Amino acid sequence: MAGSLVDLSVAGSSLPSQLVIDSSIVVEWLAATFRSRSVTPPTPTQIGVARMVRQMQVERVVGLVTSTSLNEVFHYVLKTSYRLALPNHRDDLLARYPNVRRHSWEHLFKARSDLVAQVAADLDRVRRLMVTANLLVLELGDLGPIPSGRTLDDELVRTMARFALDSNDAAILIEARRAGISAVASSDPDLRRAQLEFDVYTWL
Amino acid sequence: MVAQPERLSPKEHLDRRIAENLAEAERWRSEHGDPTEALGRFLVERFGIEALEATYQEYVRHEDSFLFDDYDDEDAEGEDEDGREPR
Repeated sequence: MAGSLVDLSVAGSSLPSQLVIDSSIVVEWLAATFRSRSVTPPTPTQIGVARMVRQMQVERVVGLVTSTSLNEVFHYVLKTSYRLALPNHRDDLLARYPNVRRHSWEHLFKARSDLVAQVAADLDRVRRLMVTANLLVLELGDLGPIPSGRTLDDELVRTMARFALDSNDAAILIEARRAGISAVASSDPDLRRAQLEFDVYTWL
Repeated sequence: MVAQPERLSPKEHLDRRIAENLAEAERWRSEHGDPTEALGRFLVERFGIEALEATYQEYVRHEDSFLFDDYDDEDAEGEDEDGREPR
């Protein structure tokens, strides 16, 4: 069944009681929270996302976060944490990569993977604060079988082809289907193509 | 006789978790206030604006994707992105 495109920039737009939240929404929410304390003002999308997250709390709407989206949010935190730690580990980096002119967070990750243990506390803090904002991560027990009856790898390819999406975005739609959810919120223009079968909540 | 664990359908499982989550979130907010405010405070205190903004800008450069990371050719001159010598 064909879905629709819902423009959340229109005043008074309503949300369904449950919708799948794409990683772009969580990342823009993170950016909205730190830019509200920065000299760089939040973008219109970030303002819209922050407004949507507040609306979810007022209207008791739950945003369901797929495992793929959670991975991308955690990647943001991991990358930022390693980026911040770079200046403190120059000796480790020079020992491991003596010929690299400027070391990146990936170099430090390879040289000092043990630092991930320290990032775990940050990840815990972020995921707990997501829960308090009505952002709930989907669990295996929430998911039914793939409605088409295909195997996961087959379904992933079919979903990528049908919606012209990359594998992560396609995986988000598959997880939404398995949870019986037909509404997706995203600020990523790519996911607008999901309106072939989903109601897509976005900012036009 | 050992009691069998309750078997829930995926929908029942999700509905139960949503109800628990809503209650837990509302309880937290009544005690601690706005989670958006709390998240911003934590992120800035822990990471600082500069590192947060650098990661965000990388995300924007890849048009809303973390599937790819920035690799600066100049940074890794004479080596590949892992710092290995080219063959």
